[in-house]
Amino acid sequence: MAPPPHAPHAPHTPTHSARRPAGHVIMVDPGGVELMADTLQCVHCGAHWIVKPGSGRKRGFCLKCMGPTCGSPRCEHSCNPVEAQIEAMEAAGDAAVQLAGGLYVPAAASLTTR
Amino acid sequence: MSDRYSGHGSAATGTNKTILTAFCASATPKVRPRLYELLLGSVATPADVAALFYLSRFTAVGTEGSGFTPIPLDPGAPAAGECDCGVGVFSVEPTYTASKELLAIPMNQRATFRWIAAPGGELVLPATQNNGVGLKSSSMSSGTPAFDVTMHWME
Repeated sequence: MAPPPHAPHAPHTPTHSARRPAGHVIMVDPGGVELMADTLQCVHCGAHWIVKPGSGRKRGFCLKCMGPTCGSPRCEHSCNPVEAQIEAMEAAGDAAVQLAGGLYVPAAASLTTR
Repeated sequence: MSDRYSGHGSAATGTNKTILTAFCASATPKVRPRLYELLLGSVATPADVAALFYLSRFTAVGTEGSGFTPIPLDPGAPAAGECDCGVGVFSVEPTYTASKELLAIPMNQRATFRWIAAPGGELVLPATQNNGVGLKSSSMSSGTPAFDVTMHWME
């Protein structure tokens, strides 16, 4: 019996998966196979992600901003549009900025791991 | 109409090693730069290395290995725009905003990657001196292969 075309734990990445994508990704793997995918952009933090239906990642939607959110707690629990955050960055200059209710600590290499 | 610029850099990677940054260099920037294209690929001897890159905001530029003067895509545009570029290897890494990556790129060293923003989906940088975005390697499964990065933005 042939396996299903897309196993539950191996979601495929369709080339076009969003009605209004915020970006596109093109990857060429070593075998010369070209992968194309849509990206969406979080209306709160501005991050992009590749849309993978069935991936299991929980994203959100802000009814105030009328746009998708990335799923991180700081973007899901409050509405802080990216425009407002950029204005806060500009107002603060080089000072520390609190992004979307999250704690921002300006420092070093330990911050760069997830 | 905005002007478009290109920045390019190549540097050895590793754990939390920045390859290329783009940031507002002037003390009083007049516009918010908008990053709309990113290209990434390795120029090292091909090898199967699992690599993870992040494009992140930073609030301090660090100490770059070398500089790169952005090139206007339109020869008629001002030669010097609002942005400047820093190329690795950084002796002091930029101060990245914690846990807020704008783009995560897991890829094989042999692969090439290109991201293009749809109109309105650009990554907006604050009009603040020394604020910008940087592409850094978060981790490599082995070695420190050199990667090439190109960024295009409008300002």
